[in-house]
Amino acid sequence: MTALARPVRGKPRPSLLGSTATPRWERIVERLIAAVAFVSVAAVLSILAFVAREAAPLFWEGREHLPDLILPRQWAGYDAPAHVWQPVGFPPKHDVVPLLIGTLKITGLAMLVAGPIALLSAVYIAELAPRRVREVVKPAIELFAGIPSVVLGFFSLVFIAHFLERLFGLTYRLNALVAALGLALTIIPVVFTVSEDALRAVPKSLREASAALGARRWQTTLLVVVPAALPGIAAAFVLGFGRAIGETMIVLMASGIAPVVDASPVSSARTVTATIAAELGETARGGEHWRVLFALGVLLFLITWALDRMGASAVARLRRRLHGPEAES
Amino acid sequence: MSDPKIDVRDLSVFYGKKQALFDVGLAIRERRVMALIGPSGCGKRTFLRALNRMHDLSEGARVTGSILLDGEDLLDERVDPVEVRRRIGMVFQRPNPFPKSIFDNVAFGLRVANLVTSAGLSDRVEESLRAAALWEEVKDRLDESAMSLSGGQQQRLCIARAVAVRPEVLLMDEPASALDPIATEKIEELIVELGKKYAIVIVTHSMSEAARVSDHVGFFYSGKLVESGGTKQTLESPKEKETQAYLAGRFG
Repeated sequence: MTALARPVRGKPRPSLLGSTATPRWERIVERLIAAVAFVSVAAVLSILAFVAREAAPLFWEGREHLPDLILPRQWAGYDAPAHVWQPVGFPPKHDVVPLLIGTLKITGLAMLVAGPIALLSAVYIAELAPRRVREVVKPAIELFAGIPSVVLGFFSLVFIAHFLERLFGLTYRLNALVAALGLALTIIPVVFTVSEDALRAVPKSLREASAALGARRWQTTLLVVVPAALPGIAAAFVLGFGRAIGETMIVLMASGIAPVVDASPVSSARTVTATIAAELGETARGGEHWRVLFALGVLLFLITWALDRMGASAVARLRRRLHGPEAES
Repeated sequence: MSDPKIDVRDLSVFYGKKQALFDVGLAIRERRVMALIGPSGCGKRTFLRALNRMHDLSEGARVTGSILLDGEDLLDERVDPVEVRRRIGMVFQRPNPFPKSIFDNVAFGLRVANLVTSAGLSDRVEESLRAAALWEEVKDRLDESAMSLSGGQQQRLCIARAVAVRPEVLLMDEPASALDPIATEKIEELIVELGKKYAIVIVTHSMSEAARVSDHVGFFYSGKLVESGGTKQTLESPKEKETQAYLAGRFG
């Protein structure tokens, strides 16, 4: 105390008022960092603006074709009104419904396969596995997320397709199921990691409380830990879904890429992403086909953005639930 | 005097190679409150957590000696620790209600043990909340999240939750240390009240709290039980030098 209060001998202490609020260089660095952050936000927004600008003229150029984008139509040579995606046919047919069906079918199947596997692995690793097992398995699963999707596409195309063909004697070697299984490989690490983090975020004190009340380990897991982590697990599924719906290469390679309208999991399918990837380079700039592809891009952008927001808000809800209302991030 | 409810003999606890508790012997009596006191790291919590076999949950912890509950050694390898915890309840230092409704918190122990029919459940929940002096404050909002309660209410909820399974012994790990003085007073009154029904073992940092709530005290110092006896005699005229020094505030 006294040492602090005593002025240093021979050196008068400068007045507090002489030291201006914040040193200038600090303010410059802060501005720079803010500018960089702003640039990245601006980049995302300008991508959206660019994509939307290419799509927007659909709504005033050739407006009479708008209903054909989503409604079935009786085309020449068809027995009944149908949803047809045939952009190089004559006349070109741009009904996006087959693409949406393909996307939903493949993504849905992939979630159905990946969800339970990823969640059960997360529960096992977070709750039951000895530490040594966790230290090996967790990074191994997360490493999966780093495999280039073209490699997984190749794997699906060759091995999964071959295996399923032999197993079920399928008509179409490349189909929605093959693509979905390949896709599942990319979703599993996402759903696994986020759920595992959510489960591990459940405080030890809750597990102890449960044990002290005479709960067995599986009861603690099932009745305390998993319910407490539920918002985080929901976020994991939403993020996994968002990842799956935007995935391009695997579905392009393994789905058979035929815009089929049916509910069979083993018929070929064509997703929105694969369509854009395959066709954008082949079409006339500014044509209707071009515009429709960009509109599909906007749709994907909005869907993944919405899913991402949902995931983030679920994580925030998890935090509030575990740590009380004051624990806002 | 009758046989003790819990008779601890030669109890030692190891964390890995490090020994945290050395050959402790202590008798805990029916319908009495035993306070465990001593400086931080003295082994009183380690002792408490051995009584309901919480050390089974942590990797690398080892317990030796014997803890006789009504004459049966609960450290025996044939004993199911879950059964032990159903007979010996525990309340923790920080309130740790589940992020569930108030009702579900209290019903939790009954449900996992399948102890009562669902018809009897709400009676038992009410009885437990009354026993924890919380019923009047929450009876109209049993479906609300337990997280909406104040800290003191949460801690009384944790006590209600612990007594709902009708344990024979109640362990409390500094149950009032995270609470404000008014909430602390309520918890202490509750301990005195519950002490008429159960054997209670409470770890506390506060000598005045030990004086207010307990019948017996045990003073721990560096992993050993230095002295135990009636609260009044031990706090007023301790026999051992360490106890005297600690009570005089020379360390702690």
